[in-house]
Amino acid sequence: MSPHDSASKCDDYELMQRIARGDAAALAALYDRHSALVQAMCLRIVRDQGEAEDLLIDVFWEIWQRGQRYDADRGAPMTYLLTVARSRSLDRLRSSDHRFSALNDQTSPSVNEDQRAGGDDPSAGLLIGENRARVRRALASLDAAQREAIEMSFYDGLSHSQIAAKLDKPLGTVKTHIRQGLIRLRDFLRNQTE
Amino acid sequence: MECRDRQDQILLYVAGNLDEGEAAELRQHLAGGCPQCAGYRAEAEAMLGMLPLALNQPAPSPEARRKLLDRAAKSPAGNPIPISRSWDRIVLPASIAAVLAVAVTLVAVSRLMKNPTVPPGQDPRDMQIAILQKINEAYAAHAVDLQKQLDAATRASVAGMKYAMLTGPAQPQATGHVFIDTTGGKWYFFSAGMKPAAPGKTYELWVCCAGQKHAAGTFDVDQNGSAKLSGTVPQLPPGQAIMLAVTDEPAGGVAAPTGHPQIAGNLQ
Repeated sequence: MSPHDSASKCDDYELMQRIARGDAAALAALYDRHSALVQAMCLRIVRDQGEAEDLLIDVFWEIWQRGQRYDADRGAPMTYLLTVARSRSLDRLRSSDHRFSALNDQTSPSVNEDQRAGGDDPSAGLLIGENRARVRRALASLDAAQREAIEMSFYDGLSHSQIAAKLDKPLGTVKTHIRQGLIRLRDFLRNQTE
Repeated sequence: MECRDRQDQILLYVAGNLDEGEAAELRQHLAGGCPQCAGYRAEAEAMLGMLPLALNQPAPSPEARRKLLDRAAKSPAGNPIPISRSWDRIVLPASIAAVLAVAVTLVAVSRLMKNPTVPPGQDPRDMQIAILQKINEAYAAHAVDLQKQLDAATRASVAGMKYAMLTGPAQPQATGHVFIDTTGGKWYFFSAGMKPAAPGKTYELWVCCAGQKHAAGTFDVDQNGSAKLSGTVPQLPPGQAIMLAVTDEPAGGVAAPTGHPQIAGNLQ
């Protein structure tokens, strides 16, 4: 069995342990497992395929270089990867001048548009696939205004004031959209499993 | 404010959408270790962590993978320090930790009350009455807390966490708890109050779904009847009921169950 075959049978926690010990096969296995999700997160934020790919490499490079900083008590490896991906992508967005163009890029697919397109990753694990469908249904249940405000807050890292300015809506309205949208998301997801 | 009324605040806080004044008050409350609010927080974090799953996920280019692995081959990982993942440090969502904390406390109180030491000079009957009152109070209080936390843990299933309680007539004092983190693909099993397995025997946990029984590991219990196991969730057919069961089996375990079911329960 090759090192990569061996690593591919490990769970994410074991892969993180092996990466911290400098095991490149574990890095490859973690990459193969989660790179599509990490790239999707980066692409949603920076909205540029080339930059998203650069960020994808940066995120996993950071895991390789600083894997020992991962603290299993703080969350699952996948959550950690996505946190790093979101943080680095927002850094990239803030450090460049393409925030303006990104925010005005009406061609970038939103989550809801993804759902209409019916784009599913057939290689995803069953449980992740179930969760994905559940989250998509939940997001689709939101009002367009709620979804838009939440996406700007979560993916674009905008403050309430920035969102209000961008949407040309009163600050209070934006806050209400975000609050009501998040609560509705949670309640929808709860009801789906009850 | 009741903790139940804080759940919306906690969700907004985790999402970074709570005003600073409210956030400061909530931080203080969370720092106090409130288990119910820790459950709400874990639920909110897991829910937000799942949002990117809804995104379309085109496969990255092979070039990106090659670049990364080439760089890794030329530069070793930085200052490798092994990551400890003993049971003391294993990742447990706060809601689960809270359930376990209450359960452990309940068992401890129960044991203490069943084995009292009468102080010198005190009437044993008064002591017994006082103990009975305390048992009642402890059970009442903890039963409520436990139910609340179990409710919170069950609700947390929306965010990728599923739960099952295992019981059975073969061991009426025993309980098992199985938590499945569907997002991370891990399961965790805890037992309490189980009798030691008979000589030459061990306990084995099974994941039963669609007529298949997947061996999930063997375990022996400590003097409190407690044991812990964890593992990776096997691939299971979608939409099927999942049952967890513990049987007694020959030492070392077997590939398919042969012993008597000790405790079992369905995944919620």
